[in-house]
Amino acid sequence: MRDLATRLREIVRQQPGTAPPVRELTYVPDLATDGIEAVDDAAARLGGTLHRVGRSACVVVDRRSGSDDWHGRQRVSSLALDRDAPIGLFDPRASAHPDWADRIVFFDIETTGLSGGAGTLAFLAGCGWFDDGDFLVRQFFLVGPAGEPALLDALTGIFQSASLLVTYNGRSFDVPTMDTRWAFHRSEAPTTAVPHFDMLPPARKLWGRREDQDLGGRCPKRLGETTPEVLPSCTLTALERSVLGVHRQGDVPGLEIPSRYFRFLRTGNPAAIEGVFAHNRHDLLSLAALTAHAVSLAREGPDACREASEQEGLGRLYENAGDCDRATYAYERAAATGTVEVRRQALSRLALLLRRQARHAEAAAAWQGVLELAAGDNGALTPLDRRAALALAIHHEHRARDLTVAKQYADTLRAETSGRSRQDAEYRVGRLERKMKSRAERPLW
Amino acid sequence: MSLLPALPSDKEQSLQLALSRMLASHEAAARSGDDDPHVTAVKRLAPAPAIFEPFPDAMDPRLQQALRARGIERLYRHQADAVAHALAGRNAVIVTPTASGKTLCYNAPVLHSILNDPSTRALYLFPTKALAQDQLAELHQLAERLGGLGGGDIGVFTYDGDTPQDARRAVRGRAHVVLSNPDMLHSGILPHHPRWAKLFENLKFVVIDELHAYRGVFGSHLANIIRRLHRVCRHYGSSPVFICSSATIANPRELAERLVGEPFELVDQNGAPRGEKFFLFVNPPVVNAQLGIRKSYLAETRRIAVEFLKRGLQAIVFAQSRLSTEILTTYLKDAFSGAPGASDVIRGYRGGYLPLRRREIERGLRTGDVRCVVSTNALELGIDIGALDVSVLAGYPGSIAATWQRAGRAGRRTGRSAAVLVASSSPIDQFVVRHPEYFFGASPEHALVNPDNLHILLDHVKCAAFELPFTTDEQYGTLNVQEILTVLAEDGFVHLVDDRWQWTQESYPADAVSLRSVTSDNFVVVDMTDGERVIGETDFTSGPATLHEKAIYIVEGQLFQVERFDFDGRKAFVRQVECDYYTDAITYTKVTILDTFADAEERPKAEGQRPATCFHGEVHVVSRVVGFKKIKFYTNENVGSGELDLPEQQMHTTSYWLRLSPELMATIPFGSADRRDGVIGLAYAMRNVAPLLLMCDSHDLGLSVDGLPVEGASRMGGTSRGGAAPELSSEPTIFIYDNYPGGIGFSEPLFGLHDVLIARTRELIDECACESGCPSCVGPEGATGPLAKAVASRLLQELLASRAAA
Repeated sequence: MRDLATRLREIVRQQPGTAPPVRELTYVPDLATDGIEAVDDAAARLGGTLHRVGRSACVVVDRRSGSDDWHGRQRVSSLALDRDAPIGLFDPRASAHPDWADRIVFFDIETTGLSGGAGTLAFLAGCGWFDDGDFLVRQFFLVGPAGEPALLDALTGIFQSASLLVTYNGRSFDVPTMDTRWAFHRSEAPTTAVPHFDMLPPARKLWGRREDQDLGGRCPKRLGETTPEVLPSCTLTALERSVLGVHRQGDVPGLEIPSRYFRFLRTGNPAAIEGVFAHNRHDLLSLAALTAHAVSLAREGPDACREASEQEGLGRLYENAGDCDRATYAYERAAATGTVEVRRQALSRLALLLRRQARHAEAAAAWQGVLELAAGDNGALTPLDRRAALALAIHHEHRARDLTVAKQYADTLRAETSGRSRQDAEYRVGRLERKMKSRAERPLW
Repeated sequence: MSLLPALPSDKEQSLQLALSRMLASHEAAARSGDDDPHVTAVKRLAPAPAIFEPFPDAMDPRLQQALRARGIERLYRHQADAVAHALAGRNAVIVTPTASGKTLCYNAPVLHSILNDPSTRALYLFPTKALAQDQLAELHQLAERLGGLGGGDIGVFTYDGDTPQDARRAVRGRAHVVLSNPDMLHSGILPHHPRWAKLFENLKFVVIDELHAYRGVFGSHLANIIRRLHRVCRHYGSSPVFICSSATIANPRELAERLVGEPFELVDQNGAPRGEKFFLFVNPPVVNAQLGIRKSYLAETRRIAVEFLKRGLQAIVFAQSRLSTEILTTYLKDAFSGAPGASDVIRGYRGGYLPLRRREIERGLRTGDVRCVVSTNALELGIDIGALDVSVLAGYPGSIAATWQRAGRAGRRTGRSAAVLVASSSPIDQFVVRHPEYFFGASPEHALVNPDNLHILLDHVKCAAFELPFTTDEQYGTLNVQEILTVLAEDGFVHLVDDRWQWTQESYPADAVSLRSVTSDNFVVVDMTDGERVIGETDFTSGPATLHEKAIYIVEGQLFQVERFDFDGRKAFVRQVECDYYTDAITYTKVTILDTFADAEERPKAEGQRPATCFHGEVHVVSRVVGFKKIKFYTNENVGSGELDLPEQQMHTTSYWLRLSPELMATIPFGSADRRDGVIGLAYAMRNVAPLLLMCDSHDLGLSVDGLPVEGASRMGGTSRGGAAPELSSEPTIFIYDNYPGGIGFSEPLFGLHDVLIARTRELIDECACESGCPSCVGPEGATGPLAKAVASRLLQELLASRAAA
């Protein structure tokens, strides 16, 4: 009878019986990576120190970006936020506390996988904050899983002293992943006590160039830098290039990160993992820069924007925050200068906003603008066009009371829609015809 | 054609009428000494009164009050025993027939404990989602009533693949009792245990309902999932009590202990009352004595079911396969197709129907709108379909336990019911109906599991390593898990660091492991008759045999033909057709020996002569669907065939095999073709006796002679060999293998039972009344050859003589 290991190898390598195993490896674990000495050693090789809790220890690496350094078009010293920064425009919870800007901690983790679950480790947790004009990044690293209690303890300390946590997609990835780790070790997660600002949703509004022209502007549910569903234009790497003018050199692609860590675990060689540290630091600095840039746009208004699409996005942020005047101005600016599609979007937004303020004639003019900018050539109506035609049909029937114009729009809708909307359009045309007939028959005196 | 009468007011009398003819036939045959009676057995199972015990004093008064409000004034004896064990912290396995109030056995201690300590949590596992849904309503009602009595808010939720994503968080936070299934525990709960910390920290009870369903591969998976559950519970500092309920099997306690890995108390003193029941065995009459051919058992089942149905009784008909379910549904719908809508009261039911259709049929059975359901074993489990009058079993279900379970779907606590077993011509069926004392006297089967099947074990060690890193001194199961981890480390699945085996893969291992079959793949069936619409699904292994191109696929009597089979895309595109035949696939199987674990020689009769050697070990089985036959409804005529070219399926399993020596073969005074027929006949008979000895389901075993297929030599009977018959080698070898990858633990006991296997096979062949072979012994003469029975008998004689001489 063959020995257990031989039979196991056959199954693991899916080679039923016929051929002898191609590889006859014998596993010898690398004893050098064992125990506290190994952590010490790794800390030295990675240029860091140790954080110990009982028998658990993790590596702590501090790196500073000087205040006079440049990150793309911005100087590091200009990235720090003060308490007057209008971050509440993006998320009112972020600046709810008066001291919110005292210690803003930017947070980003690197994990062994994206599927989640108990077996997914956050092996590198990076925290960045402004320290006397410099941007300081403190990274906590697991030389092995035994270091996790130490890592969690160190993070708890940072989180407890933080006034605000800023992440990119942290609401659906970084924070829940860490919460799982605290739960795994049966301890209370400190994340619940810190206000958390996720930069992804506002970034998506400002810079996520949507493919669809639907007003809903839907994006996939789980957006994150490395999740496969992410829109390419919404990733942090894409935004730092297009918005901040940063070009990364020799960056480790997100997909490679888990395998690099596994290689480090097997070999103990820091070369495999140093690139991941740099990637994480770079992400944090870009996150800080992107946040600062978004805040400055919010402060200075649409005139500071470089692109009409930004102005349109800013308009939506103002609108969400209930600032109708600034939103109207932002949409008007975007509608004046942007590409056709941006102008159409801005006009439609503007139309909705105006109608909500009962400025019906202006709203109708904006809808008219949408249709005037319509693709035209092939004649088919986009959903946005239909929306505009419907709004104009309603406006002319009920407000302007110009039944002839209303019927023109209704006819267009009838010809261009199907299903439920088609029925509605037919109903509308019928009603308009009846009204026109009764008006025609009505005596003039 | 006849109309179905309204439900009769006096069911007792209608049943009496329907049974009277069969009872009379039985008595007449007994008087005349008929050696092949039509009704071979009538067993009256006497009614039994209830045995009560009062509520235990310790039981929370609110719970007592809630139960009283539902008309439960005291407990049946088995309920009282179960409650006592559970509350004392002892694992208990309760063996109860259908409708004996088993749910109270676990609901009572669980609710009592929650009332005492609201932090208490319980996890219920059901083999199917439908069963969990079934239980939810009852438990929920009880919990609400307790809430009204000041018991607080007791959260009861199902958590399975159908639970919406946004509701899952609420379930994790609020559920005192989580009703789930092993699949969900495996892929949705254990890998995410930190999110379930509250459940695991406070887990006091784990309930495993329908324990007997966890045999074979499914059970081996469950045993490993429970091992993982134990690890996670240890991590969170809990140690739950297990309460299991099982239908009647031979080894409920052993099964529970194998699955859970802890000692159990057995509760088998049923205190629930039972009504009177008649159990009849029917053997369809011989229509061709020379060939030993009996009337089709499906036709006979139809006739008997119609007898009951036309007297207004409600019946369940169990068929052996999905195909025969559909054939019987068609036959019965035809029989009642006279009145408009009448055929809707006859329904088919099997796995592969979509859930909505199934729920509709279950509801119809409870309300009485559905008068007859034809089902596979899908309705064998405890889904609530109300109390039916009659259960008709088309063919012996393959095990004593399953037979009782199916028979038990008819009958109530009071009043009379009946069960009828209609034998097919397969050897097992014939043995059972001709030896009713075997069935009524024998213990039901042992449910076997093999948690250390290497394929299954490896998968779960990966999952366990993902959930919690293994320590270097940790044990898992009975094999050396450190050695397993070392092999996994060689291929980068884990890495030893900090005295722990860290999972070092990005993937989520539970996703790749399906508990229900070897691969998690299935085929979906798309009807293209009117647009595209999914009408069913089939598991990966049986896909090629049932969904190949030109196959007739049947859903509730509606025929579809497969137009395109997309193997890679796992889809079959079908279109409705009207035709008078169905199809049966021809599968080619080849077996090669990989490794021999043990062998035993028959003792030589004389110096230097070795009659035979038997072995057990590992084999490699390759099977491929190579063609199909078209078979006409009702007449079963073969009306055509076709060839197919489909990918082969491979497995690695364990096997028993018997190698006949050249010396033995030389002593058989017959020609080589006859010797070949004899060996195949012997193999056919052995393969049919083996399930009786192993007390396993006949599907669990596969057969091959010399590594070549013995086509159709299955329990359905009818061996036939198309084309040239293969020549045997000089040392013919009969393989009887475990029909699951990795083996499920039948071949080793079969190896141990070799002597009995040979003796019983001889009894079967020698006692069979046929002249020269029939489907009930060595296979029908037309297919096996004229001298197969004589040669097989001679071979057995030699094999037994060698033992007698020693």
